[in-house]
Amino acid sequence: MNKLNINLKEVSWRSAVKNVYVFGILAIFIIVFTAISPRFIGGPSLAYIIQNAAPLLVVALPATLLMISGNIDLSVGSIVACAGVIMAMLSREGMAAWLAVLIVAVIGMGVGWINGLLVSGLKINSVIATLVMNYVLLGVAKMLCGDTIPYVKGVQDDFSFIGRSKIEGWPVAIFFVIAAIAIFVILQKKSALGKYSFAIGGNRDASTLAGLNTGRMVWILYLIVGIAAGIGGCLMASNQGIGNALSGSGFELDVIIAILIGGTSWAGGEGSVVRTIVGVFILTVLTIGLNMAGVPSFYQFIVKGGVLIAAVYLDKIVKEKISA
Amino acid sequence: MDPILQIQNLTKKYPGVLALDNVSFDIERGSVHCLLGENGAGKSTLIKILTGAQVRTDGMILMNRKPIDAHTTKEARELGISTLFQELNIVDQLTVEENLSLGMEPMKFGFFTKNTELERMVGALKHMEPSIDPKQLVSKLSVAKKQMVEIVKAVETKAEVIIMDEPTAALSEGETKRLFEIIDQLKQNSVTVIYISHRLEEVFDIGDSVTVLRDGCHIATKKISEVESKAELIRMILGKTVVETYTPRAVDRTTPFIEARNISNDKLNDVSFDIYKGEIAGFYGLVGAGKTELANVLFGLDAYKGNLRINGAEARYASASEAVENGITLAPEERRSQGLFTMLSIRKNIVSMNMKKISKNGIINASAIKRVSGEYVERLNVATDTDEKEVGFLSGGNQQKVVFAKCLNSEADIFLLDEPTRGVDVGAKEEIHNIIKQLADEGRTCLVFSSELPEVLSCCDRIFLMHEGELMTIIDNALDIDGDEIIHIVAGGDA
Repeated sequence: MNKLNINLKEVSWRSAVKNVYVFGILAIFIIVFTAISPRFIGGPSLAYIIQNAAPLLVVALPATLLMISGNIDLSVGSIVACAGVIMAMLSREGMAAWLAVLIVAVIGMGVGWINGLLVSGLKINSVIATLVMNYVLLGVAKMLCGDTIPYVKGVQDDFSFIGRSKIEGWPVAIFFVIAAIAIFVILQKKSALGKYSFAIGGNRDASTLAGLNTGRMVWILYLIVGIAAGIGGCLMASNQGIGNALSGSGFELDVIIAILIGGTSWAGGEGSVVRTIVGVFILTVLTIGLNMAGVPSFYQFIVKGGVLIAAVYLDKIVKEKISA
Repeated sequence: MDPILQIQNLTKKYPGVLALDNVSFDIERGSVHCLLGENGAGKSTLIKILTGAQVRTDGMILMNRKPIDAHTTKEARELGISTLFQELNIVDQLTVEENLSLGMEPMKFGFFTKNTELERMVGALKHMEPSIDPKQLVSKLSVAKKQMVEIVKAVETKAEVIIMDEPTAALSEGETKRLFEIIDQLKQNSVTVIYISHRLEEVFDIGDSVTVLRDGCHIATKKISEVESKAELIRMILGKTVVETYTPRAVDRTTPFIEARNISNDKLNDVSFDIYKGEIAGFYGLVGAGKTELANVLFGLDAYKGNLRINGAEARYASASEAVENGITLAPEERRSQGLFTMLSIRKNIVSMNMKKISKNGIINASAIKRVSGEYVERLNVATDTDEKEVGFLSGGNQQKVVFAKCLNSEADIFLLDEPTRGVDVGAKEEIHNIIKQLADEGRTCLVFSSELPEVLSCCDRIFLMHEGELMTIIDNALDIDGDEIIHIVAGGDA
């Protein structure tokens, strides 16, 4: 009996480590950057961090569900770029920002539908299908900007509202962050789609034999990621004040890095939206911290790459230790 | 007689092989019907056709006296035929409960609602195996318990026929007993079980009737009560047990060439033996006896405790490439996926293990490839018009010859041959066996790992009988050898 108790303790201790170690990494980053640059904790207010994290967070959460199902969307970078450009164009024509966001979200859903068609309908490997889509949509974004400059300016005043404004000291972006967290945590934990994502990513054959329409589930996940990427693009453009066709380059990698830092399995079947949230903030704090420390942006790519490798390796070690 | 399934003139042709030849028999409702036969006898083909994984070439299957034609496993399941595959179809990352209800959850607006069915299923599972916590992750369960979860799911989804493909292969004795109790319960609920196993005692323990297949042909269907003895079953399975092709060979037994002492790892238990130069040693045992695992140890693929000496020197290789450098070569069990580069030509396959022979300073000499390859194609009699043909297009026997040529070209003197004639038709089998004898006559040492008794009887000098990771006994091959006795030993009986 005594032995059993110890074992139980051991097990819960281990699963606790698995769930909280990402928070530890986040804490370490905050401490390190505060040490390097004492302005860090006081300087960039929480609002600033949230405004910067919002686009990544909004896209990375549904993309986590997609990765749990064993699929990936590499086209989100270009969807974000297109979304920003289209929102800016609509605003330049005098459309209200909220309506522009709504229209862009619908366009994002259309792109997600095409991704779903390629992956579930035509059964093209998701890495290849969405990598090609990323390429195609980058072309579309540049085309929309015209042939001289890769961005769209001349927007209305309300363009920056969702990305940069505050209401009573609260950044507007925080509402998007809270909504995204609420929606996707509930989707993962409570909805059929969330549960089925784990089943499909864990054992696709078994899921099909159990009578799940696995293709349709994956298709729906692509739709959701498409909508989220549309909204994420609007948040980013609004924050920057222009629609920039190049703003999405590397974004898809940031999404993947944030998901993997959170310990979601690349192969599917395992993962957590909550831990992706932490992954997003680790990445955002890292970027802001490096900026404040005066590290040139090209070094930042190198640092991010190193962080990804370290995170994935650490996750592997932790998983091995727990299952040992 | 109330047959639930009637199999009529079922035939399945693969290119070059007749896997099922005009097979007809009935399966009675509510019975446990055992399906016996050696590897390659046609059992798995029959199962695959029943479950919709393969399409028949000819013949009919009637269920409840109506013709059925399932094209996917799902269709078969909807007809009431569930299968417990050796490879379990269960999602490790979900809990027991989630697996039980997967695909059948009632929902509203995309959210699950209260599942009353689930309570019934969990109840059934609790009744069957109280120690399984429905909230725990399936990945933490033993194979036996995963199987029970699958059985509960199959039964509770109103399966009329459950096919069990070697369900006890990974089970302990106690777990097997538990499974048999469950099968009894199924019978009482008039569920029909088609049971496939290599363990003959099990057939007598739980079977009502038995069908034996051999080389794709239906040999007999009998009630178990009408079967006189295990020996009768073995005779039906093996056909002629007397082997006329073996001629004793002279082997110098003064100094051992391979000395294995107390080889153990998680699949092998204290295996010791000596093998002499120029000998053909046949390792025989059922699936899971540890044959492939022993080959892997000798080839440097798996770690082991104990001592292994080859030609007097310690042989603990860290990798397969080290083993190859030391003159060992392996013809793997999975020929197409592990033994060959099926998309490359015969020529390129043959030279692939020995680049030194065909290159100079890292540059490959095309005419050397042609010369080397031509030599082996002729010597091993590979039936092809050109050695530039893709290996994937060859028949099983010719593919195996290419594997042998590849191994020969590596200039090895120890050949590990894992199931050397699996999927090879009868004529080519004999040819392969002759090649093995020829290799041994030339002074090479051959270790044949086989689950086919006629194979080891027809070409091996000594037969090493294995059972669940242990070497039970070693017998000298002779024409008057008792096949029944051998089966008795490898099935776990006393040596």
